[in-house]
Amino acid sequence: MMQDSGGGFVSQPSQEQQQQEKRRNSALVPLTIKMALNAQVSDDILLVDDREVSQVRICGNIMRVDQTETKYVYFIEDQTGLMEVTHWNNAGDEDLNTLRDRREKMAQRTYVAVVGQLKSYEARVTLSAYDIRPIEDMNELTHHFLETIYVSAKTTSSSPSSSSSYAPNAQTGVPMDGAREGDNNNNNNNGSLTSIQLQVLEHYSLHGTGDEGLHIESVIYALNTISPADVKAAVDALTNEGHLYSTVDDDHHKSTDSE
Amino acid sequence: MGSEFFETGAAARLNGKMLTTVDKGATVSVVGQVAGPDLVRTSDDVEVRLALSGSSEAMPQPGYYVEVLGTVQNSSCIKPLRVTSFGEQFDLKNYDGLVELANDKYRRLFMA
Repeated sequence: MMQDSGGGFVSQPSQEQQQQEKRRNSALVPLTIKMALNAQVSDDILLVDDREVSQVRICGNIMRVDQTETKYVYFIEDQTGLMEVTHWNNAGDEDLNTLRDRREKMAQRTYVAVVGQLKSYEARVTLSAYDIRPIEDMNELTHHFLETIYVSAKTTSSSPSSSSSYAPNAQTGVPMDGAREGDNNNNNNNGSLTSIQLQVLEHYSLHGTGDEGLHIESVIYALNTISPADVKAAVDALTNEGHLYSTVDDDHHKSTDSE
Repeated sequence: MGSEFFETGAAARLNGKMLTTVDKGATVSVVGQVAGPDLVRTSDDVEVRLALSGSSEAMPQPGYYVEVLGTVQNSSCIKPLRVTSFGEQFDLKNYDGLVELANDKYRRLFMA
């Protein structure tokens, strides 16, 4: 092994610190723009639902685009608020032609999905986009907001300070049983899951409530924005983590959350 | 009216029956299926008319799914600020479930 005894990297953080940093910041959190704009700022950390957020996803409609030599600035609304999203020309690894093609499709009045880093500057919260793309299947918009609700419900229900003020509401005939609050206050801090794993788990929790749970192919079919390989990998990971268990055979799984 | 939407980006995501609960002039949106030149059947199967005269917004063809964002004229009529086609395939029932959640238990995530 090559080792440079000359030093020069003495101030590098320890591996443990790096690991911690990574874990703390790695979760991709789906948010409404209202939630993002209302984030609590303490030092350089942004908190939503009392939890640190850094990488976020928002979905909304482009109200205006300002273009300069170095960046595009999108003003995006999702009907909960209006947010400034900056996309630098060197963002991501895409070549500039691909980027240009995609940007042509992202004019005013286009629905887009944005993944980026939430930032606070002079008491204003903005988003620096890693990736911004047009939404082609509008079910993705519904899904984004449902996932936002799901993640927020899980986050707030697993924090000990939250009072369970969510009385069952008989008037709302909402078909999404898995999103019910207070079902599982015990162990469901899903903060360490990836966005894909969350989407897959949510699908099982919402739709796989029967004894057999769901067949993996039906999940692959339903979550058509995720590649089959990624769905399979997520199911394996979720099974290993104890969020899913197999039922009648290796292709059927059920969420450990659902009754 | 409705111009504050362009400054705040705030509009209430509703379904047809909820239109009876908001004031005239409120900025709202509904999603539904095009049922006629100025008619939309909303996610909860209520007919809503669009006041298209004097609007530059165009309605997609019948059968398409559509989002109408605009100001409430009365409980069954919206003056559109923006009409967005949601294409030929869209799960209205799932969207309606979202609308119910966003107006009730999880209102704090969506509305002021």
